[in-house]
Amino acid sequence: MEIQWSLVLFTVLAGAGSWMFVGAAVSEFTGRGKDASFLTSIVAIVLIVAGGLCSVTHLSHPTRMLGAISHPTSGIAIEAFMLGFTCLAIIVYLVLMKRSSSDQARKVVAVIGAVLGILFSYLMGESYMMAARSTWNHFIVPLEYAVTSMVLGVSLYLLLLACRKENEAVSFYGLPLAVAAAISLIVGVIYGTFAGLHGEVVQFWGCVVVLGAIVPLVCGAVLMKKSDLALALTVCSSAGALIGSVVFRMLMWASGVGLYTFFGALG
Amino acid sequence: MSRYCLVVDLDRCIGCQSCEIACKNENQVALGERWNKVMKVGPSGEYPYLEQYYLPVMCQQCQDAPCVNVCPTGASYRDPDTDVVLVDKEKCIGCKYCMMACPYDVRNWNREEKVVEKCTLCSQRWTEEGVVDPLCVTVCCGSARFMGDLDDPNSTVSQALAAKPDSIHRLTDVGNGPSTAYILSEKYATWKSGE
Amino acid sequence: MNTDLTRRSFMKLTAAAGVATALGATAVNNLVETEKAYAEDEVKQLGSFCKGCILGCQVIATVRNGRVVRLEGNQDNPYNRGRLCPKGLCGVNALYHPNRTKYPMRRVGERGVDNKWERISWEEGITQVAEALIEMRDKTGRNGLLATSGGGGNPQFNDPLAFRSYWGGGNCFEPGAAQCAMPRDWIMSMMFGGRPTFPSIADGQARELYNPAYNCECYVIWGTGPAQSGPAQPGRCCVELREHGTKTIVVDPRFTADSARADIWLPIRPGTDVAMMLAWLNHILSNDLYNKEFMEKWSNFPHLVDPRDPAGALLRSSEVKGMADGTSYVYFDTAKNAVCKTFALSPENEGEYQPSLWGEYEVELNDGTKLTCKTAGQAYKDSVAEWTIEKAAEICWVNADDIKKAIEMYASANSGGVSLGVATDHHPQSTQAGEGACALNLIMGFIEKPGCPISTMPKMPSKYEMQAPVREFFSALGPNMRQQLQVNERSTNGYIYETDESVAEWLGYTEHKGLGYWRQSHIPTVHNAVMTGEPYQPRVWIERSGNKMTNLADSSSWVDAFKKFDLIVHSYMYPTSFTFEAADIIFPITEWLESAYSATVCNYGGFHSNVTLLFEHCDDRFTWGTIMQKLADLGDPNAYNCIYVDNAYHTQSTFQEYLKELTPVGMTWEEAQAINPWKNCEEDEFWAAMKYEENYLALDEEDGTYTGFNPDFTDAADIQVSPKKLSIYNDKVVYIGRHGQEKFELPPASVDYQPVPYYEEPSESPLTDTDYPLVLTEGRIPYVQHGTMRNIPYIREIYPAPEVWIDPDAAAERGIETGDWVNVKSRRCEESEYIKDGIFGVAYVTPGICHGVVYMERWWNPEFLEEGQDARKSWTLCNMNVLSKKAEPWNPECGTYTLRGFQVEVTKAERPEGIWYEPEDFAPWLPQPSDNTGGGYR
Repeated sequence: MEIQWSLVLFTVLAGAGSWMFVGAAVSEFTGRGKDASFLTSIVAIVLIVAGGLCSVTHLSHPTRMLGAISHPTSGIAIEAFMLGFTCLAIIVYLVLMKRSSSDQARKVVAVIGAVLGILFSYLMGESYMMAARSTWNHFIVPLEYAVTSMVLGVSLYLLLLACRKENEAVSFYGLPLAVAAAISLIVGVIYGTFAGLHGEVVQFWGCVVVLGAIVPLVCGAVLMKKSDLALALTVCSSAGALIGSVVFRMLMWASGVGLYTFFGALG
Repeated sequence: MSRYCLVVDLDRCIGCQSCEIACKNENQVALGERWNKVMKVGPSGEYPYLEQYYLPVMCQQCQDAPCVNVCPTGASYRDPDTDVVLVDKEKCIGCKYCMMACPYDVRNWNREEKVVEKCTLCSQRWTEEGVVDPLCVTVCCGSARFMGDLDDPNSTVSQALAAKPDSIHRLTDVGNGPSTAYILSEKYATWKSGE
Repeated sequence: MNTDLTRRSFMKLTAAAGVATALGATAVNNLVETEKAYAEDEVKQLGSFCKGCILGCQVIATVRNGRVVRLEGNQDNPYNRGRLCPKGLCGVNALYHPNRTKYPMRRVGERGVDNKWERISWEEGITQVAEALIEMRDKTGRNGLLATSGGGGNPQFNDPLAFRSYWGGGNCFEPGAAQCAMPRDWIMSMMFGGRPTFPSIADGQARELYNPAYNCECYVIWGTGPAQSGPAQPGRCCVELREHGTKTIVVDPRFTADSARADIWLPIRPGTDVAMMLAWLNHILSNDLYNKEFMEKWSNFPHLVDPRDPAGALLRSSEVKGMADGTSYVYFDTAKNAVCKTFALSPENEGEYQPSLWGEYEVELNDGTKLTCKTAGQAYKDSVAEWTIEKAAEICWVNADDIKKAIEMYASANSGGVSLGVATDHHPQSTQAGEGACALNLIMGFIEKPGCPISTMPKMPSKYEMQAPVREFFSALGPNMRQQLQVNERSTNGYIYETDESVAEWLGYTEHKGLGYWRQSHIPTVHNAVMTGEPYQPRVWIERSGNKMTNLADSSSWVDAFKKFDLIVHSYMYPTSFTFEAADIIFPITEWLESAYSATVCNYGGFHSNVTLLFEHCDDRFTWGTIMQKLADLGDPNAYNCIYVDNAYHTQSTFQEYLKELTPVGMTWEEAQAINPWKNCEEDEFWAAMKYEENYLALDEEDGTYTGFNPDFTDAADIQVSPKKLSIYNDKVVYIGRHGQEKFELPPASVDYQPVPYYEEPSESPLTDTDYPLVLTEGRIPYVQHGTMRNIPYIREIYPAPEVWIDPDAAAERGIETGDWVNVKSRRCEESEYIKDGIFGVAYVTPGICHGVVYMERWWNPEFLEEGQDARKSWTLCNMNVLSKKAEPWNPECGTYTLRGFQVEVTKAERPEGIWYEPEDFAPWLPQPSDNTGGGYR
């Protein structure tokens, strides 16, 4: 199957944005980096919307998308709704922030937005679980979508903090980044071992596992100790996670062999 | 319920591809596109003791149709009156998820209209008076193709299957329940599931 | 006839200016804006018969507002039962093809160089042809005419033959004929007496196999591809036979659809069929597996052979002592223990007939000489005795056990037959193969018997009274009636159109007398005459078929021959390579959906219906007539007598009269079209009318003898008293070789024709050839007939370029994989500059081909006739017939040359530039519907 760039970019950007907002939500509770929450939320929503626009480019008749109301349980419809709800939650969060409403209300909305974002990042992968394509039809596929989004989203969140020179906060979040990357490593190894890659073994282990998980893992671990390297390490981690996220999705498309290829209609 | 589909007796199929051309004529399918295709399986075996069959493929009219399940807009749908799986091209957004979800790769991308389409069983020809055979069936040179309701024991499809009950095969079922059945006698060739 | 175009717009249309133009899709857009004369959305369903090949499947055309929009089969027709093959289904595209030749055109520029044409009127074109003929007649004589035809594309085979005969000189050929059906038809009818159909399923014969009683126990499909040649009729028929329990044996180098369903597949080496047949005959005769009772009573095997005769002619009774009166044959009677004169059997005398099939007997001649004579059976048996199964297996590259199983399966059946196809007609052993296959049917008694392909079909009376033809019209004789074209006998005033001398000088006829059966000349001899002027120069060529460059052997050798002609006319539905290379004038000819002529198919009668008529198209039959009329008006006495005394031709101005001849009495043409075709009887009545053995056991009303087998076919002309036997030992062919089969004596051929089939190794043989190690064979595909349909988008989408089938070992040696383009060369590439680079096709590596053999079907590429392309490439790039062999050896009887079973080498190559290959490439050829103009009739 040919690589569907629209959908690769959609899931990378929207996933990263969703997880950035998770960072903002977490800061509501830890207090660290809380000053950056407004900006984080803006960047998150921009990424999600940009991802959504990428997705639209692969549709021939996006205006007919309103028809999704008629079949709300399909994967794509759910994705569309999730995208909408996540953005809505973030917008509400921003509004609350602007209006300086109660902490309690903000925290509730932040948690709702984070949960939606996390689910969204998982469901973007879940859409590909179809019996027709055995390499996609595996529980690990949506998990891999979620964890690659997680590492990228967290890395970008920390990068944003580092840019604001909130090195302490970055260092504080070194552990969560390391944990996220470790989870991603485990999921990645399971995916790479069981999900049936077709050929591109080097790209997978090199890009997705090493760059996408091990590099952020190391960055996270180092960050815990060396807050002064925050910017460099978050750039490294973000770059690795971005490459990992993109390459995983590319490989997923490339290995998406159907049960039969009678018409060859998908190339 | 009714279960309209095509049944193909591969013992009888001589691979002439009339069905492909009749389909293109009738449905104005563009060059390079198809709703229906005859595959050649084989020859295999030790020369000269070879075996081979032709496998015409088209929408298998799944009972739990993945295309319908994944379609975000209901463009892929099951006709409420006939239970035939169809595409409403007016609703198709062109996301191609149904093409990915179809286990058989028997959906067509209409490049001009930028929508997905597929075999309709020529049900657009059905009238109040009843079901009409599609052109691919009426012209089939081997009289190998049948169209009808599997739930009706008197239909041509049910009778074709009843005539050779030990030679009935289906494409691999991954939970979708393809209705289309293929008849292939062991004396001619071993079913290879066409994968 | 009611056209959908008003008179005024027709006049506008014909008045369009003649501008020099190329013929391709991009260059000519002659879509006609018309004033609609039909009611809005008028939809008609008109019945007709397809002519995408010769089989004539019954179709229903849906015509909306005068335009054909859909073709379907008629489910009720017993032969195609509503089925239509790709060729038929593409009839609408063929009809409305943008590259149809729309008007008569004249070349601007040079043959084979310029592809520019200017529009002329029918009158101008006809006049130019007639004047060229008159000029030729006055300068060098009538024999300079060359009138040719060919299969594929709605041809009327008889009309060029009739035209030549009325004109009174010249030559005719079809690329088929000696290379298609004629050798079998001729030699077999001589053996079984003509009445039943020869057992060729692909030629629309062998109709007993379609009988729903399904009596055939074992059917041998030999060198014929029912599912390839005619999916909707023979292909369908064989499916039904197998489903009803008929065992099938397929002898074919290719693993075809029918091979894949056969009980036994014998993948024979091309060109060795006769070796295999001889082994079958030997095994059946030497193991007493033949039908002894039938052979004794009805075959000529008991007749004694004259040992003095170099070819082994049968001894004539007139030479035997005491049998002077009424020349017949002699046989040895075991009851009388004496040599007796043969006689026709009757219920009264058949008990007295106790012939010996085998042995040698002494015969005393009138002069007292004593001869020891073998029976024909013994001579036959001795002749084939060396052909063990093992020997055939070695020569034919087929497993001996499989051959044995096949023979035993066949010989143990109670009904069945061997059908032969065009494969053996494509090889110099064409008639030998026909003899062998026919003998395999006859020695089993598989004739006029339920389930046997060699059976006589009933003729059912027409449901409607039909008007007697006003004019003699030869197409009405049917495709196998060419031999009836004795125009002198048809003259009402005893006019001699065709002299004995003009017949005797048909090129190659003296040597290959079988050609007379279809009144053909020998193609290589014609070519030689064109090139050398010996014995005389052909000068004016009127050609009515598709692409001679695709269908003639060694076709590149014709390019230089074209230069020798004063005028070449090409009549066809669209321009082909021949048009570019040869034609000076082109005439626009009707597609089958535009043609009207009578048809009788099983229980149906009626006509091919012209459901529309476009542009200035005209059925070529009327073209011939109109040229003849012009010749008459120019004062030619033959033409004058033909047109104005014998009233022998319809012309473009008598089309309406002609349609009346197809119309049942009391109906209008529109009424007839609406009910066409009609059932003359119910199908079961038709099959119930099969007479089987009654066809030869019925008693002659005059003398009370059994009808037997028609001596007009089976006996040599010197036999006066016929025993009316099956001439399995073919004495007559020996006689024809020495005397001909005309009403006058022809000089003998240089070699005797033989009464028993014999094997000759192909002249180019893989056993000896190391330069070109692979054997090339051709064979049908279901999507095209002959040279047709290469310009149909939906066909080319399925089959964009010719496949080259090659076995896995040969492919591996050459590094070839499926889908690779390959180059194919034969010795002809060394001899011709035009094709020195060989030809190209797409490899299909398969175990389903006789190993060591390569298969490729004829091809040409009409895309190179589009504007700006190198038109010559249309026939040089992918056309296997530039590789085939026109040179000797030829079949002695029919002059057949070598279209299959010659040597080639195959190498990996690149796709040649300019070939249309992707589906979208063919978009310029999609149909461009236009309205009914009434055609070019005046």
